[in-house]
Amino acid sequence: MKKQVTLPQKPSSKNKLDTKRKNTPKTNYHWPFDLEPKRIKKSFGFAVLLLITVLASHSTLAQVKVNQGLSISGTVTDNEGPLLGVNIIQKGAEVGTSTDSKGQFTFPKALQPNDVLVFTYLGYETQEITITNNTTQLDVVLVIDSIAIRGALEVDTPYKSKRTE
Amino acid sequence: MNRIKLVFILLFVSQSYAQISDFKDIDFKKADSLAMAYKEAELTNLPLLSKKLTSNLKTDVEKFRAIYMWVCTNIENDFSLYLKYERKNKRFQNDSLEFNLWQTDFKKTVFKTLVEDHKTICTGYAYLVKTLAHWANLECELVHGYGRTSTTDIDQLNAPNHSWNAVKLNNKWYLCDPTWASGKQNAETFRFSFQYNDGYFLAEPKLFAVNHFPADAKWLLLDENPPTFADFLNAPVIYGKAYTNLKRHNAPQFLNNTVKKHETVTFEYELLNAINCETVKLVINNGRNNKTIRPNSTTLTNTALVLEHEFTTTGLYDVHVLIGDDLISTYTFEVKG
Repeated sequence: MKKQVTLPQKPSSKNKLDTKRKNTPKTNYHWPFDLEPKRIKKSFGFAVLLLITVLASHSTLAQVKVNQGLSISGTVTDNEGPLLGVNIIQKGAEVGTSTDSKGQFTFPKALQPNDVLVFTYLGYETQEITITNNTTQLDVVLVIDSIAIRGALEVDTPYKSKRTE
Repeated sequence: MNRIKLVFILLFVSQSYAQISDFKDIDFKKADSLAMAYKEAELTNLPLLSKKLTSNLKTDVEKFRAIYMWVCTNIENDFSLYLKYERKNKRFQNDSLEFNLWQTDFKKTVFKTLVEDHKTICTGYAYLVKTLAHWANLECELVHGYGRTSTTDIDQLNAPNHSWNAVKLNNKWYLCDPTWASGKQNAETFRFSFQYNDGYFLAEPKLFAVNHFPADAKWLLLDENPPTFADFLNAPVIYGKAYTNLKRHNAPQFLNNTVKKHETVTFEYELLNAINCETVKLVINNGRNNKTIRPNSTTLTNTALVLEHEFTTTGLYDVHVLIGDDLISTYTFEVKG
């Protein structure tokens, strides 16, 4: 029932992928620690400096990560046109969105290559799409499930036999 | 060695009987309250709804119960959609091309109505149960087939008219009918009212087969002496309340019976729970009026209920069996002199 679909990669000039990591800023410091009472003040200063460095480099890294993510948007249609309210979630996560009346969506979170988006819509076959390096725009066509609709009602009217008289 | 044999026999015996009784040690309170807690949840995010309903439950049967209960207590039967279905189904029954074209269109209407209004007809119920169950990693199938009620015209029953579910729990398949479990259509006003019937949850396959016949016979879940389609068409009419009172319906086997005057007719059932024999009644209709009587004899041995009745006048009679106020089943008897 689930289909694993990898869309052809579209070359895009808007690709925000930035593979270079910025070098963490270097700081001058003494090594190893000097715990002599006289020097303890200096060591404390060093420790503060180290803490700042760690924090700074951490936030730099985080920034790089956001830059690295892929911002995904696209449309979901069936054979007749756009589908409203198609549910799109990242597999294994709780992040998700749904399509608007034009069938369009923008995924709320930047994604990494190999992340999988799951498209579900009641009555349609679920589709899974794996994000690649160059994915930015996804145009997904969902296929309606091949079932026939039937209907029989529950009633508690007593049975009445057909009488010819 | 003997002990092993005994264990095997016990296993086999419990297998052949057990359905909901397989899980008699499980309390569904938690599952039912979860279904209640998410009342009126949206159908726009099914993976999330399934997760909400099941992630705090340990066993598969409880997970399935929460999903099934949610669907049965939140989805209404859509009578206008049903009428549309009936009309087109009749019109296109001999034209599969036209039928398929109409179905493609109709399917979209059905699913749109289900998401937006929480209303559907049986395939919608069964489909939703199946979809939510899949998101909870439960093996659940949609079964198409023939469903029969007191108002079904069996002469028109030449294509499947109903859908229900089969679910695999602890490596064994079980049957349930979320549509019929959810509630009833008022016979006069045609308004739907929620009225959950627990009897259709993991129902006894033998009883289920009296008014459900799957298009694929494997879903009868009956290996020994499975009924044929003709058996199904000739079977008595049973009602929703049969499922809350009976484990088996044994006799009469047919809806229409011919008997001689003063011949004794026997009705045999296996009950789910012991009852007060005094509450068993027969309502006999001769085409003009109803007469409520006690059977000539009512015998209850453990859970085996046997009723006997003797017709003293010729004619055609519709006989309804009631336990308390619960209408269980109907048969017709043509009494000849």
